[in-house]
Amino acid sequence: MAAEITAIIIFLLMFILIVLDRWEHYIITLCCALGTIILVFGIEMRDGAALLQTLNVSSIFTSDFWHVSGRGASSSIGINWSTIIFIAGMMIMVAGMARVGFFQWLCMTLARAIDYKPVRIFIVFMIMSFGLSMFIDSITVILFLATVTIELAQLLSFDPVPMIISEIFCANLGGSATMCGDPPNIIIGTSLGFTFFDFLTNTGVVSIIALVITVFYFYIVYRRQFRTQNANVDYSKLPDPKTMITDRRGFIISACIFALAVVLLITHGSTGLTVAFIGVLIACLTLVTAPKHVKEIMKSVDFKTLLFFVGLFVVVGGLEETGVLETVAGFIARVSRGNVFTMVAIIIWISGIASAFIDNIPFSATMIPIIKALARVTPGVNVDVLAWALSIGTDIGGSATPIGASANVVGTSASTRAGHPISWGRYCKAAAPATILVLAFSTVFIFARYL
Amino acid sequence: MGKSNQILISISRKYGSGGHDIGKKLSEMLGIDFIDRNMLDGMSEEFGIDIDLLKKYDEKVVNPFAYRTVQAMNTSITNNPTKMIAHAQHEYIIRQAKAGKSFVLIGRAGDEILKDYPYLVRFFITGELDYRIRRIMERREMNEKDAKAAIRRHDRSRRMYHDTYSEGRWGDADNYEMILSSSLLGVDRSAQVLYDYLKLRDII
Repeated sequence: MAAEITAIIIFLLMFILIVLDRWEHYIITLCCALGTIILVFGIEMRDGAALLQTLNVSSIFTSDFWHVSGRGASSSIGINWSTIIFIAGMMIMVAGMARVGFFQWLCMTLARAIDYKPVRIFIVFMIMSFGLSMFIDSITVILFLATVTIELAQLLSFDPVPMIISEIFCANLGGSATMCGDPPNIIIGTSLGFTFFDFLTNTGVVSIIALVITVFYFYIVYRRQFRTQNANVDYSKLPDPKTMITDRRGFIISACIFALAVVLLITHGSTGLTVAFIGVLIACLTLVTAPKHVKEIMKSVDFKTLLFFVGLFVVVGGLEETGVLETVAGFIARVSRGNVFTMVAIIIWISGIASAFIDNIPFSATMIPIIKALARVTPGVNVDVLAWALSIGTDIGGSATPIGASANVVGTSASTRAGHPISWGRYCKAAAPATILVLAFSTVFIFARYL
Repeated sequence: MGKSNQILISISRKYGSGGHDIGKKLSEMLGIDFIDRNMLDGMSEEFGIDIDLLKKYDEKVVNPFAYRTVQAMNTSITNNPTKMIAHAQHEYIIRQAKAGKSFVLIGRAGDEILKDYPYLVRFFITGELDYRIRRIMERREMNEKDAKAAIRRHDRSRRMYHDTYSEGRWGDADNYEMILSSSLLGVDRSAQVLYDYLKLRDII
């Protein structure tokens, strides 16, 4: 019992400290992980095997970690090294793309292709945000998209805020469509052995329909903002997309590596290559093809985020090993009286509401063992359906407030710096109804398709 | 100028104590720069931040639960406007100090952010409450009740701002070389006291 209570206290402490935002988040999770190792596994459980299982290092040295046949590999309890290695690989690839000016080039090329018409930019950038976030983390997508949006807004004299809010929403939506779009999906996918295609044919379908609803919704909400066009714009002053490319050879190579990553991810269900393998491969290719820029690329890699994940998985592992999450699953099963409709609704809406206010990464990492246990203890409940519900709830719920997801923070921060602060009121007025709308649609969709 | 190559003076102050005016007077007596809200103009140009936004969130703290900090491409990014502006201000101030400039800095947790500079002198200006209320009533054309409320509000905000960015506590004697009550001496003579102190400290 003492071990359970200690694991819960450490977990709650970690969450509270993350919310307080006083120290760097990776320091918080690593300190809490150390506390879990010493107090829970060491002093209270005295269980070296449980500790080793949580650290999970041995999994990296199994062939299944890199290549599997049939359904994707599922990571056991503890540190999800597949997630960490894949995210690291993607970070290196994205840093390589950013170095050569890929994102600015893409944004400016599209803007020019649609004659710099604000209403067209508004719609195309929403779709681009969705599309890019299916393969690249939404933080990076918004980091570049918001910057270009602000630049275009200055040049074309329109308010960038509606566009940034819509882009943020679509980035989170795009992230929910695939296994590699958002960290919660990577964790869900690698923990439960899903493939990229599993996500695309399940959450992907929901997200694509939801994108149509979203584009329509934001168009209705903001259409007046873009109706008038500044006639005094000197289009010759707008930058040529080609000038955004800083290294032509590097640009072509980066684009090829990105295309390869997309192909490998889409086909990894049939090739058997795991996301960890794909992550390592694209990272190596990025570094090998840009030997002079290795230092510069590696500087952009967020080691703090990777360490944050390591600490987080250990703390959640503590809850899992002590049986706390099994108890929570039993509680949800009792509340829903074994009714799968209630269960799915609880998972979608609790995940959605929680993710609107707290970091959805620790939340989803905690929820995965819960849904696994829930499927185990409730006859007739398929873990896959609960996983899709969790993925949609966490990814889309995060769009509701300016702090729900990392992309929201990055987008609102960029806007504020440019002199367009986005208050909670302004953000939520547009994004919260859209979130509710999409969550309601997703609930109905899951009910209709799976139950 | 004086015996030191660089003079850095940080003045923390209670609202209505005249700390700002005392700092300004002292900077004139020393012939060095005076940094207060005026730095916002330079910052607006340097960091590309809108000036009205800088003024709105200058030396303030907002509800920390309403904002978050995330990591992106190895950079910490926050959407908390007060934090963004405070960090930009601190960066600006440190750059001035690194460039070898001498200045009197008002507020902005200067006692903390410049603590590594050997020539930093930290003052805290306070004053009797009645004196501060009178000053605010005169300068802001307020009645007594509003002046009291303004003092409470501003002091709370300054304490929160300082303590957010500092290890020491705002107004705590351990944090300053000298705490001076300006009520009896007024602005000019208080500035003279600080000037004389700097002389005794062998700084000028």
